[in-house]
Amino acid sequence: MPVIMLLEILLTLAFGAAAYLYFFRKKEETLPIEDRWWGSGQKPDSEEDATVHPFKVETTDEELNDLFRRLDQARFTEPLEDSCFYYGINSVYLRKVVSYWRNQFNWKKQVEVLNKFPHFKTKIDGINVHFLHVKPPHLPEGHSAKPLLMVHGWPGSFYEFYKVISLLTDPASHGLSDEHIFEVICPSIPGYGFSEAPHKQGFDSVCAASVFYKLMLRLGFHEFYAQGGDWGWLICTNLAQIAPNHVKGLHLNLVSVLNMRFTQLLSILLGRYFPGLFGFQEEDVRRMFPFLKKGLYKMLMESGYAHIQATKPDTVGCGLNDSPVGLAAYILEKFSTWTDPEYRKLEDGGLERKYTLDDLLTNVMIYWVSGCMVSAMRFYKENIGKGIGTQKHDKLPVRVPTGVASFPNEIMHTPRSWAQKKYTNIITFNLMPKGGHFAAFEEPELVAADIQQFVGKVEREECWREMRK
Amino acid sequence: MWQQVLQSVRSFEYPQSAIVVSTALGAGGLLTCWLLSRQKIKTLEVGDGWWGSGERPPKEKEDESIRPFRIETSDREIQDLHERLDRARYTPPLEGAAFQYGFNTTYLRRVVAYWRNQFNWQKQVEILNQYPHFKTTIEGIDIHFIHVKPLHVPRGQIVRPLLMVHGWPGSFFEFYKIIPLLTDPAGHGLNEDVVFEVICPSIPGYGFSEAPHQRGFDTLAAARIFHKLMERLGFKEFYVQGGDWGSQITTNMAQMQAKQVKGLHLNLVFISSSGLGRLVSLILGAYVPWLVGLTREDSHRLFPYLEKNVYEILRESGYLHIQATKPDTAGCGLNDSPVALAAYILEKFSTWTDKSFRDLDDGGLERKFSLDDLLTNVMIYWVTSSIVPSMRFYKENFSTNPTTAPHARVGVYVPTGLAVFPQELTYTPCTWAKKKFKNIVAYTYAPRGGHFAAFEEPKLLAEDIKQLVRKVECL
Repeated sequence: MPVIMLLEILLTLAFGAAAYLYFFRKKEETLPIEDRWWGSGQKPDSEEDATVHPFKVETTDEELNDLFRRLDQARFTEPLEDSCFYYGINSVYLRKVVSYWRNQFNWKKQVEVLNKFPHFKTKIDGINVHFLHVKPPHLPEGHSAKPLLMVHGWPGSFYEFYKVISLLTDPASHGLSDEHIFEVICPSIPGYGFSEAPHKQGFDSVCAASVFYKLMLRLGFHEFYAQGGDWGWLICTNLAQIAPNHVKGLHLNLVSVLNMRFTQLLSILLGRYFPGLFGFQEEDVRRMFPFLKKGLYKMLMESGYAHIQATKPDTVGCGLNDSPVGLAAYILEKFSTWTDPEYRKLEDGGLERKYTLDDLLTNVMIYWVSGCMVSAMRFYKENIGKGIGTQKHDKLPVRVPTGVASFPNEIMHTPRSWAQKKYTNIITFNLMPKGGHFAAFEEPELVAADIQQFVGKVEREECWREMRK
Repeated sequence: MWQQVLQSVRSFEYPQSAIVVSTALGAGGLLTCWLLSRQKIKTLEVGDGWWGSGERPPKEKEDESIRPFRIETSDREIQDLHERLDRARYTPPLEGAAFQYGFNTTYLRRVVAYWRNQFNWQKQVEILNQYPHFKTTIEGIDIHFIHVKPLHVPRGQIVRPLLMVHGWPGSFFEFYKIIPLLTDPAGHGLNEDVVFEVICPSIPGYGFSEAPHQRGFDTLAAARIFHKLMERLGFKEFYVQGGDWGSQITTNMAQMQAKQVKGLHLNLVFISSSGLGRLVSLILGAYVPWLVGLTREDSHRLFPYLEKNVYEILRESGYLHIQATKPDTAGCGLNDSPVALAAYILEKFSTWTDKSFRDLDDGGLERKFSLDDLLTNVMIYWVTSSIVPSMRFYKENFSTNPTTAPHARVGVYVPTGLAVFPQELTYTPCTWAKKKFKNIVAYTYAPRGGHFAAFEEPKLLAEDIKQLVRKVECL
């Protein structure tokens, strides 16, 4: 009968409309992947060589002799009286570091340390990408290794992860629970360390994320975890925005929310007095206020490097590629101040309280022997030069399960309530008891433990399955 | 009501009415004093300082002798430089980057090749020594200066003393072309109605002046030291000229001891851009410039404000930010690598001369300057190892909020001449400058030129300085 037919049609339409709306709403906007060519000159017509070649870090006597000559002829400027680390690195302490570097530091031995993990290179989008691929030495029965991509930042390198990698790939040998064992893929960002630098302009964090995504696919991983701090935070975030179905979980030791919203501004003005209203915990208030001093003023005092690197990287990097002492001064100043801002009051910048000179200098040597400081600095211009908080990826939320380890001496503190505006699926958010910016380097046990508890929660609650619905 | 008051006053006995009258007079007097004091010319406190190492020796009188000085070099110095140039490590620029990422290393290699093979430092040292150099100890540190007197003075001609102060990354050498135009105008086909003797010091921490050993050496300290220098040289009255830091220092000198400064000439003006009035001026000025005292020229140079001022300044002030916070780190590599020092300094001589030079592969450097001149300036920083102390000057001056510092609130009452060069980094309209400089007698738009006015357009600058003197002395 016509009425029933009409009803049927209407119902079908209604059902169809509902289904369409349901799927339309559920469809998430992802960040488009970048497919540009970064090699020199024109992209060749032939297909790219996708082989993964093993790689070993090497050194020569010539390289060492050149370094020694430069160290021997270094020209220092006497610091002002009582200036400690307030004017930047203190050259009296720097002389001691250089003397150690010249006479006791053994680069050949450190190269062997670097080579204890397997290194590889593979060409992606025209440039050679360097990475470590560390598999667990022994896997208990029934266990599978979870793939974990770990991305470094500036002025760090893959070397920052050497201690935490051991804890994650071989927890049993370090007296830790082996419930979660990982195989770690740790690349060098193009332009850093042993990864080739892009030859074209415009290589930003989304481009780096695209390259790493292709790398993981090439290695056969379709689902993996990602971890990062400093630039690694942004690159892993972008990766989660590009391929949310492939990133099981995102673990960050730095979170920065750059496009300020009105409520955030309001929370800065009133958060100290009405913390509960803005979702601030006591520790948040302690780390953030007084905001002028701990936020704005501190940012101004400590962001000179970012300002000049985001505008004139080729100029500022020039000297750091020609003077190893200049390079060490520039890098080590960050390892001092970003580990604990109070270290500025110390004549030696407190550097050896948390790190050994061998570790610190190994990281510096990676920049020196690869000559990558200029290209590393260009990353600032490519990312910040277009504007802060205005890029597409700044506005897109992150729906992948996220775990945040918030360290007390991190440069800027981001409370959970702010992070939640962008990372809509925060599974764990832990305020760590100690540690600064270089978390993996300084507090590897804390970072490893936090990754494990985050992954544990994700796997148990199968949060990542929710994502597929 | 008043009737009653008057009646009660009249009814007072003599002593009481006297008290009332004297109280009224007293109050009136105080009010008048207060009103007058608001208009009274405030000066900056001169103060005192000690910049030598360790404690200031008590009671010891400072050696006030003025010692002649000659710049010297040695084979060893030149050889060390050559070795470093030979082993320089470069990073190739990105494709199509020109000078947008900073100094282009393809062009830098050519500059270094010239430096290594053709630049003759010994010859340049002779050029530097063509003027008499001196050193004298003030507040514990050695102050270097050149003192150039006119070779022949026409009869009856007054020779006016002129103190010229350089900035960063310049030096006393920037003035070498303008000095002959000021001390010997006739010899250069210029009007010789105004002739100068020029005193050109190096700011402590720059060039051949000793660097301060103590913290806190700012433009006020430099101004005070230069006052003492002029006093020691026997000048009771003199003119001052400056750009970049020189502008701030000479302005401070005028604020400290206005009686001694006959005239102040600046090619860069520092004023704070904050305040409600300024904001209103900016917002309205884009649409109704005449309402807020802005001229058409002002409008053309200021607006659109975001692009021309805010973005440009952000793009070009990275060096300022890092030098004002971590000078010892920023300068470390530059003091060890001459190539790096050249790149850092010469980038400024490119961009600050003309912003559009950023689009050129060679940064347009040799369009306005010769490599010999540019490298001589770089060599002054290299042979004296003064790049780090020169950068510290930024931190010392920015450690207090520049807009609320005392000298930002004190006016300048000395007759002032402002020369505005089109490619200067920031632009200050006359109406804004007048809020600080209360006695502007000349405000000229130069037809061409950038930040390094004396170096790039010596003739234009010389003419403008003389014009100020003519106005001040009513010639």
